[in-house]
Amino acid sequence: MKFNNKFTTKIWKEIPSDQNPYVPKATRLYGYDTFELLKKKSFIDVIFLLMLGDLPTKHQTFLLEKLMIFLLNPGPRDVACRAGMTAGISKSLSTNLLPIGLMAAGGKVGGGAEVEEAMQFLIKHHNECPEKTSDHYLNQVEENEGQTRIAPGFGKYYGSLDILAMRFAELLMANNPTQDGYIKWAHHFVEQSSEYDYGWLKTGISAAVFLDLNIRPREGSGLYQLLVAPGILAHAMEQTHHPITAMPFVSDEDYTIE
Amino acid sequence: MRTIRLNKPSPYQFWDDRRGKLSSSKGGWKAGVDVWSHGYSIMNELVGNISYMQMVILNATGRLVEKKLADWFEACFICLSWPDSRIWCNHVGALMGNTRSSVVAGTVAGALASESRMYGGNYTSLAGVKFITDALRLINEGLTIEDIINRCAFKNDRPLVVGYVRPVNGNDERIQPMKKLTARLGFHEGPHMKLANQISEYLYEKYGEGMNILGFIAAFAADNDIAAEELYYIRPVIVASGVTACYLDTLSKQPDSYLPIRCDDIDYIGQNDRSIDF
Repeated sequence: MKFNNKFTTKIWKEIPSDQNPYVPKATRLYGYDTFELLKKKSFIDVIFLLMLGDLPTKHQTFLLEKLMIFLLNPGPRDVACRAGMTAGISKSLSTNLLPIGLMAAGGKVGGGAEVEEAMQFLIKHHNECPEKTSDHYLNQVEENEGQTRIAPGFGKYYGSLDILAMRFAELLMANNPTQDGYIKWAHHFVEQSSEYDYGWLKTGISAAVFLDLNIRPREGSGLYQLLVAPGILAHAMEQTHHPITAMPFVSDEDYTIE
Repeated sequence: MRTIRLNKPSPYQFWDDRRGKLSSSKGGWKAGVDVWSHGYSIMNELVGNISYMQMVILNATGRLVEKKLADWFEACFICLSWPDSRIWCNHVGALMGNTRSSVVAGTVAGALASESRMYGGNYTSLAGVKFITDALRLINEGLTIEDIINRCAFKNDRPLVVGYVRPVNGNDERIQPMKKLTARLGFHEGPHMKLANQISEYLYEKYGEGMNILGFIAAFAADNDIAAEELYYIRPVIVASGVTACYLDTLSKQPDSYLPIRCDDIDYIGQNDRSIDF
């Protein structure tokens, strides 16, 4: 194999200062001067630019911002927050807490890997009739104890509809001018399946939003981790200020070796 | 819709039954008494009687294997623990020593990097075992090695066969010592390893690339009743020790002195300079 001598990127340009080639005097993000962005654009606009290469339209900003707020704090019951909190209460290094939580936020059930699979599922089917697809998957599902999916990103949450994910999807639908987008397709997919309590999950609505923003599946998995990061960080750090006894520890009586 | 009707009073009974309780088929600790792993008392049966690698395999598979099999795996861990920071997982560890992250963060970050679709032999071990077990089945059904290779994906007219190419160099120096060790420990060459050697010879003659350590380990695992998933579970941190060495190498040097990059060492191929016009 032949390896390149240099890194290659379409994202970032650093213009070296005249005195020192290691010190940039200016930087450009997809062609835009960072200081011009800093003066004229919001954080949401710039993160969109970073991920997609162009500044967003008003609707794109709306979609990304709403999703960022919706995912901002998964809450202390969420496994990713719990992973960070467990490391926090047991006094792992503060710099370890966020990465620990982010790894847990990468799982195939409720994490970034599920978002990627949900995006692939939506790409595969979005040219088909959503009601027929829903019917097909409903006929295939074997209801089981535990978390059940009819497809990646769509299913039951603790045995019921995920009310918050459903509410968020409805909010987006009410403000969605895109006629043929992924959110709309999945809305019809869910209309049918929700009669059986299989509905939008957080990973599914994230996948549909990412696709309507033209984000690709691999990028979607990591972006999901990024968007849940603030809540992981806050909850994990909160626990570092408490004694180790401030979180439950299962007693010997409640621990069974099978 | 096909459903298994469950006699449950509420949709969340399953979770209510598990609140505040744990049960494990793997083992557990009774404070001040003992710890068990898969039915074995760690303090009374295992400590002092088995090797660390036997314990690793027990925790990963539930099986207490013979010491010679654990010794074989230990040698694999040595083969993938190189203190050379050009290797991608080690490079991550070196960067983290360079920036004074902790040794634990550096080592596990390197182990994470090695969970690669391309190298490292932990994630790829799933595909490696599947390839050689499928290949043996197809040979038994009458196909030739050429047929099997031709079924693989190709890139630049070269077959992409998990376990039989390397990103850097076609000759894997780890195979011969591992072959010697395998014989010395008394393992016989099984049908998967025989076929792996034949595939290696075919690929070497035709493309100049032979078996790599992943292909060797996958064939050995298949011959010794170790499932692909078990192999994956045994070796998540197989590269960790080499990563630690690379972390410590840069930790001992000036911060930010590891492979410094000038601004113009980056090849920018993106949009031309532009201004915000809205």
